[in-house]
Amino acid sequence: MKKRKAKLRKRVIIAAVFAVILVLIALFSGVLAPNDPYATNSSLIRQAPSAAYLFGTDNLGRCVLSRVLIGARTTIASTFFLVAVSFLIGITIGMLCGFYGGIVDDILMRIADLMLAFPQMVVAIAVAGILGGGLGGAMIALGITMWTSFARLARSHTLSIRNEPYITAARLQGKSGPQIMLTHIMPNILEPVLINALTQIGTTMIGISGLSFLGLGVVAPQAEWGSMISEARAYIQIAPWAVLFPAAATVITIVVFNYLGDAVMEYRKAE
Amino acid sequence: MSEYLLKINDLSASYGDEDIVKEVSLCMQPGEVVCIVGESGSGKSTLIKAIHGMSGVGITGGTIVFDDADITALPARDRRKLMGTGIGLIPQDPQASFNPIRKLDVQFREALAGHDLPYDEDRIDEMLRKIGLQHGKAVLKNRPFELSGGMNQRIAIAAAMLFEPRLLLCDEATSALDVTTAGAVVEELLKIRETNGTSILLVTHHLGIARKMADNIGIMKDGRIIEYGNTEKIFDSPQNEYTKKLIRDVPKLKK
Repeated sequence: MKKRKAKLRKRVIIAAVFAVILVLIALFSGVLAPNDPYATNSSLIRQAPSAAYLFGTDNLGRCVLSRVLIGARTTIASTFFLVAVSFLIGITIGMLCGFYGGIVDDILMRIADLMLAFPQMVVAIAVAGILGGGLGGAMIALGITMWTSFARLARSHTLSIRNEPYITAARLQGKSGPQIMLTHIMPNILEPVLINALTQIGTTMIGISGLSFLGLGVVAPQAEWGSMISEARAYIQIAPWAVLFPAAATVITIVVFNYLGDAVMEYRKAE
Repeated sequence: MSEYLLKINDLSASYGDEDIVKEVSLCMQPGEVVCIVGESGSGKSTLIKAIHGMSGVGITGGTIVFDDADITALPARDRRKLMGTGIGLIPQDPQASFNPIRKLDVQFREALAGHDLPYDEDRIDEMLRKIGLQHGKAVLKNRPFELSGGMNQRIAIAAAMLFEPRLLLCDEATSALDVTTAGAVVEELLKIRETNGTSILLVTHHLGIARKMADNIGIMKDGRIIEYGNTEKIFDSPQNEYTKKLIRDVPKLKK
């Protein structure tokens, strides 16, 4: 048992190290990028990877490596922001539902059911289409369904602890509902909901890149992995590197964050 | 002012369908110690919860009068004011009564602030020392799950005593303590009764503690108090068959 735990902990640490490296790359992409990611150069169109341009250049002669690095910032930052906002909204609604119950619970949970009735991506495409593209629109489109998973989780955990004696004790001390939720319930349900947030990062990233790929997310010159793939797939037979590198970056990032989420979840389960 | 601090008339309480406590009547004078003894499931804890007004326990009949005021159907807000300084409770499961991931001193501070009482570290330390917890200040820097069951129980006892309630309800307050510590707690409870005139309603299945502490003893079975009277009388000449059996069944060291 102990051996298994040590093994699981090692997995968590390895995954976390990779995740931190990715986040650091995204944070310092401005410094790391060897060339201006937006500078076009008509004499360097579709250059194969070389010492000067490690990942080659795209259709407009832009450095693919620089664009992948800058794109990391867009993708990872927007993913984290979206997960964080959904997390906050979801956990608040979930706690309200679980703690107060009754009609509040009924109304909010039926709204959540409504959101979950359609496949997430279909709703996101429809909403992003109505909002007319742009990164903000894509994030709203994904966030509209994403908070529900946090809300449901937070609600069920709140339900399981709301009748604990220490909640009763807090009530008898004269604490108000919001106070109890903030000081007693939230800290105690935080862990499972946070782990859920971790596992959502991968899916969210696919969502944002997917919407950008469809032209509903990030708008043209801005570097983002999904839109880069979408742009470059037109000339994939002449310059495959312009597709391959952002695609590889997407896959690696998603794998790392999914692996981290799974590792943490398994580690907690083993306790 | 009447001579009774607590007067319970024909109290029935339930968790839903069936009454767990059935038509119990009980009177307590200021400074009186009453023990309710009975087997598991006889409704002892439910009686305590009903008096305390915990949510989940429904009072289906009868009245509870505390200090000449009917508190049977008191609104939650008014009842809260009564808790702590009026009616204190030492819970059955102290560890669950503290938030598991917050340090105890923070929780003490909050509880005291809720009643506009100052957080006096030395007083808490002294209180803990009295019931056998040395290094109280260090102990309170822990979270509940980091302490043993006995330590938690003593902390819960100290917490209840800090408020100097006029009526102290003890729900198996010494069940997780060893004999020596239980003795110290009993001594301390009796001392508090002496200095503050606190009435104590103690629920226990430990007849020894009941005999040592109680002025009056009530034997509870199937939700009813089947025999009630002076401690000496109950132990010397029990009337009810069940009481006799209960006293006979106490494990003894000598054969």
